[in-house]
Amino acid sequence: MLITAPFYGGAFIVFLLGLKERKREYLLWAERVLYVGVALHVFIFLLFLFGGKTFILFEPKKTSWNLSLILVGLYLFLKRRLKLKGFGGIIALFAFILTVLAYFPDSLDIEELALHPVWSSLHLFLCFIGIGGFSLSFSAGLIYLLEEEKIKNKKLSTSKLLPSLDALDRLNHYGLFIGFFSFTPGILLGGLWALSVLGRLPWEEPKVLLSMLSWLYYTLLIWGRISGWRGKKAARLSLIGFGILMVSYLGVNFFSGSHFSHFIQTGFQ
Amino acid sequence: MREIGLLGLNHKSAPLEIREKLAFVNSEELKKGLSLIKKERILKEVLILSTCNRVELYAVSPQISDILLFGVFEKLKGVPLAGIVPFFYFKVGEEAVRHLFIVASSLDSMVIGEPQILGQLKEAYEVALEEGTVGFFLHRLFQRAFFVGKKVRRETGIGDGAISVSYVAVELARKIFGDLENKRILIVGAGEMCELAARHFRSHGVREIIVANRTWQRGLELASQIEGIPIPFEEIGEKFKEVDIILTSTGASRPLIFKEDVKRALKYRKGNPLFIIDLAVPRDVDPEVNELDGVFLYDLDDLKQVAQEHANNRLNQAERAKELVEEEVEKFIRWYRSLEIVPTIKDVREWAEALRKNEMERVLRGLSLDEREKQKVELLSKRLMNKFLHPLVVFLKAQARDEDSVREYSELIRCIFGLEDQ
Repeated sequence: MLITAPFYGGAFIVFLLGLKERKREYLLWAERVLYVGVALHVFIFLLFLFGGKTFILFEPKKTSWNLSLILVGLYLFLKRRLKLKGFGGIIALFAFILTVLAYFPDSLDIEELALHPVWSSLHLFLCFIGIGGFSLSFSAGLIYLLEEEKIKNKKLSTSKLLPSLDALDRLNHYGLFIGFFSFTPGILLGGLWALSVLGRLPWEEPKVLLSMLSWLYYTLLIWGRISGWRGKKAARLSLIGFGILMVSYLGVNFFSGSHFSHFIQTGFQ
Repeated sequence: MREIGLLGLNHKSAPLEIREKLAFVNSEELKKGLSLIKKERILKEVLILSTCNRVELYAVSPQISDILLFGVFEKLKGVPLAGIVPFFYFKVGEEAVRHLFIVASSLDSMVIGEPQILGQLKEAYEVALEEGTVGFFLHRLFQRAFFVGKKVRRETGIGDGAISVSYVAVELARKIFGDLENKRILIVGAGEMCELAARHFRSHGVREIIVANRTWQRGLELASQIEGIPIPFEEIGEKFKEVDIILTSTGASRPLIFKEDVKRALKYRKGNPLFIIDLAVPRDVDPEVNELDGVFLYDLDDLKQVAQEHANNRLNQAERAKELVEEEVEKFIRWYRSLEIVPTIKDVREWAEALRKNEMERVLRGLSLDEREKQKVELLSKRLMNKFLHPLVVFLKAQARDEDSVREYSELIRCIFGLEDQ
């Protein structure tokens, strides 16, 4: 699994070199390296899946590896539509981080989770597509703010290599919508799952609480987008939203154990 | 290599009055000239490149010389060249190849990195191809030149970045908005600068151009010239709410657009960016406007500075481009020299094949083998022959680095294998 990391990391390094040398060609090479990484990723994913190793679908920490695939997949899906040539290097950085995160130690008992395969896989699948969309929105927002600052201050050395502000804003928009409309049914299923096992929603869990907070925040952002928020404002807000999401997704997982194990153990007590 | 030569003049060697006299005004004239050369069999191969900045005649002939090419030029244009000879340059062999590659890379253009030259070269090549004056050598040479031109653009970015103020403005607008097709632009003023910039934006597909000028009549005129919509000057503040780009260049002695004016409009814009281009001196827009979120203000100096940065970048890239050209000249010459080796390699192969066949016949006569066995022995002999000859072929090809080695080793090999008479 870790074999995809050098490709994602390499793509980002080539991307940085391209910015440093101001060569569009390097940015295109970064995209090609990213494609090799993602092809390998799909191959390994299928190998695991058809080899009966379904932990690849269930295990929360390992699924950050899946999330990197979803993120790159969403980017490739939107790339041509939004004219995002040269942006793959940024996506590669996120994919690299997510791949490496999958290698942190994990205490989850997969067998317990596998007792509810339909609930858990659907809940996870939708939530991860949601997070993938929000990650895209965040990366576009981040680059938007950096590029906007450069254009405003008349420092255009590398700007021509990256997509236009409009393309970045639209990526932010699409990412947000894909994210929201996957994340919403994802956490709804999680709630129903909890109700069917516990008979109530486990509000005492920090992850549940933070996920709800993220969802409320993104609902507000969606409302803002629909009513016309654009540009810098939308970019800034997507950064804050992603911050909250990361605390609930990574922070809680890494610092207080998996919410699945806690939830399942509580449910079976 | 001494067969290829070029005679020409360009913007550096000759003034416009001379260039325009010798230019081929259209492809019909060019075709006529080429067919004349072909008919009279003056040159083996010929191609004429004629643009605003250069007229060049590329030719292949065993008797290539400046006198020969001057003669051809005089015949084609029907004017005596005696008085203008110093404006011409004549290059032969490696120098001619180098010159063509430099031209194709846009390193010899008036504006370094301009993209038109490659298209003009292709056009000249196609006309010559149509007239049947391009043969094996010029075909290979020009295909290589197109490759070099593209490679240089791709690897050095020599054509990146606009270097005129109007183009910089369009490039910046594209950086902010991506496509300009659905964008609306407000032109404040109706001077020459506004007109030029408006035309650039129009050619990049902006949807709507609104023109406001203090003198209604002049505004109306400009609007009709660029298919714009004229509005009274007093209404420009209202348009700040709707347009994507404001381009201003009036003769006002004080700023016309202040931070407060734009700030008021921003409330209605829902975060959509606004790009303001101030081409006026003194400036029409208060510099504080740039402090507003989502507003990008560029004045004439800012645009000039960006243009200068691009021009400097092109000059820096030109050095790298020249290195690439040198590498490609070297490769082309090596290819050409390898052609001289080909007859020797061919003769050696034929000699070896004749020998093999002879020996095979002798051996097979004394053996009673069935068809399958015969084929196996035949195959073995061929393989052995190829393996023995392989190092020799590789060695000979490697000698293509320099002209003397090619000749020397060719002669030596011919001597060893007794091929002198062939």
